[in-house]
Amino acid sequence: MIDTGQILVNSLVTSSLYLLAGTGLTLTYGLSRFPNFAYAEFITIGAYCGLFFLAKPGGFFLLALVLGFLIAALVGASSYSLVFRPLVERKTSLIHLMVASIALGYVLRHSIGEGWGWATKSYQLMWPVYNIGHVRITLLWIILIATAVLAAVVLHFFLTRTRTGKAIRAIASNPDLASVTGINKQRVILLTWSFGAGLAAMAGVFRAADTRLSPMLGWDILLPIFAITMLGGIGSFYGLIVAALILGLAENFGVVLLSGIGLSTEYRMAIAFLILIGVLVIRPKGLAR
Amino acid sequence: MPLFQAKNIRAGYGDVVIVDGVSISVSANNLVAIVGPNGSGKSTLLKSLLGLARLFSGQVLYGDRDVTRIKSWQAVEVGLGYVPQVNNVFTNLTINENLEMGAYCRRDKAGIKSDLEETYQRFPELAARKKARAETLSGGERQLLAIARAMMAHPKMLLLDEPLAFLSPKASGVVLNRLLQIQAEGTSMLLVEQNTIKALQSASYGYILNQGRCVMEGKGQELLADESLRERFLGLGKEV
Repeated sequence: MIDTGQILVNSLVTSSLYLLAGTGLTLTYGLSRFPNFAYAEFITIGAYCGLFFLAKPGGFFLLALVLGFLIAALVGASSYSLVFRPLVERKTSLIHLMVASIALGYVLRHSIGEGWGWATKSYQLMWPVYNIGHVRITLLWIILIATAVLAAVVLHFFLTRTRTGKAIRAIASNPDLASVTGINKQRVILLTWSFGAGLAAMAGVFRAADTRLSPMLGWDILLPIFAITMLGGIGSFYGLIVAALILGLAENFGVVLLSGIGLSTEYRMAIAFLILIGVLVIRPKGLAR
Repeated sequence: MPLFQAKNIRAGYGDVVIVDGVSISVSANNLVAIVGPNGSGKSTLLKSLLGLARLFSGQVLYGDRDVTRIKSWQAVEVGLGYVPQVNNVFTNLTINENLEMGAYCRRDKAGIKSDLEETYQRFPELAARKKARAETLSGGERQLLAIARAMMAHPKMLLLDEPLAFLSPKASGVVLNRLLQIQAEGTSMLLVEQNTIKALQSASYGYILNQGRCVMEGKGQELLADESLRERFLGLGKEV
């Protein structure tokens, strides 16, 4: 029998993870106008920061989240300043920027692999489990959902009420006009890259805490993150929220369907792939446009 | 001393030179027009002054300050406001947010608030739809919003790129009247315009560009009255 309540909770957990992971990608994609494939490694860096801090005696999960955020923010800012900004200023083509991001991702991924090894690891954390009727939920999931909701609310107020938040939306809407309006685009873009990488790292810590971690952790979930970015409409945070919910539901109900017809649940990634292809064919500009 | 001078400007895109050796000067409280046929380099000239097109050589002075190759985001702080021809509003922002972005370089919250109220009095078309996204506005309303947005920074001089293009006669009349009102209140203007008659009638001084070069300059009315110019460069035919 299908336990709809459990599937809905699982969907919410998946959606929350994708929302945290995808926010930075959609915002930086909207501002910088190219897909950064090295974004996967910002997620992985978060996961390994978590491993580093949680391995110490007295390691504290929330502290690992914060420190992961800060370290990845630094890596995100450095990536933009040292690699992408110089290329953008030389009017490099989209394809060159994409290839550069793939190369940067490769370097970061293999640096992590060389530093921590390629073997799969785990945080070795035990999370209390709560049963509400038939529905099982862990404390980690509750923290994840609460973090995603908090991030969404904070970001909503940031984007609609603050000067810098409005500037981010203005640059995404019309970069040249934003410049002649007095907005220092580079400063705002750098801030967004830092913040986005930080959120991605938090998603990495949650992902690693919920499953396990390897240098491929970020790369393995890059496809669904790109799928929700495209589905939500590039640069649209609100579109991303809806898209994350849709993909979370589609994946978790899809897994039940896959099991029902005798297919491996390993095919769940195919659902994101189908959504991505469907969006590109039917509504290339996504839900928000 | 002129408020704004561009000397011997050579500009274009990539390696292509579109404007070659053009000099212009704008005195305080004046409206200066740059007119000429399509493709004469009017818009490129304007963009090169603000860092939006490539400036190969030349000098740009604002008062006695050299602002050559100024970064486009610093132009507002200097006192230069710019209204582009197309894509002149932030479509996904509300009208109010567009105006707030116009005041991005300002920190005086109380002053910004009072300027917003004043702007809505001056532009009642916008006041009724403060919270509507700018993408819902008509062409004429967008142009008014673009001008109002630029004015939020208190520029000493406005650079306007074909503000009357693509507008109905009624809408272009409304936009031009607002511009003249703003100019009368003390904001200098450098107006690039395809609508030659309206531009030169309103301008104290004008420049005629053709194929990237300045072929004539003089008082607006005098340029309009020159029959050889009317036929050769302005496409206006003989005056009747």
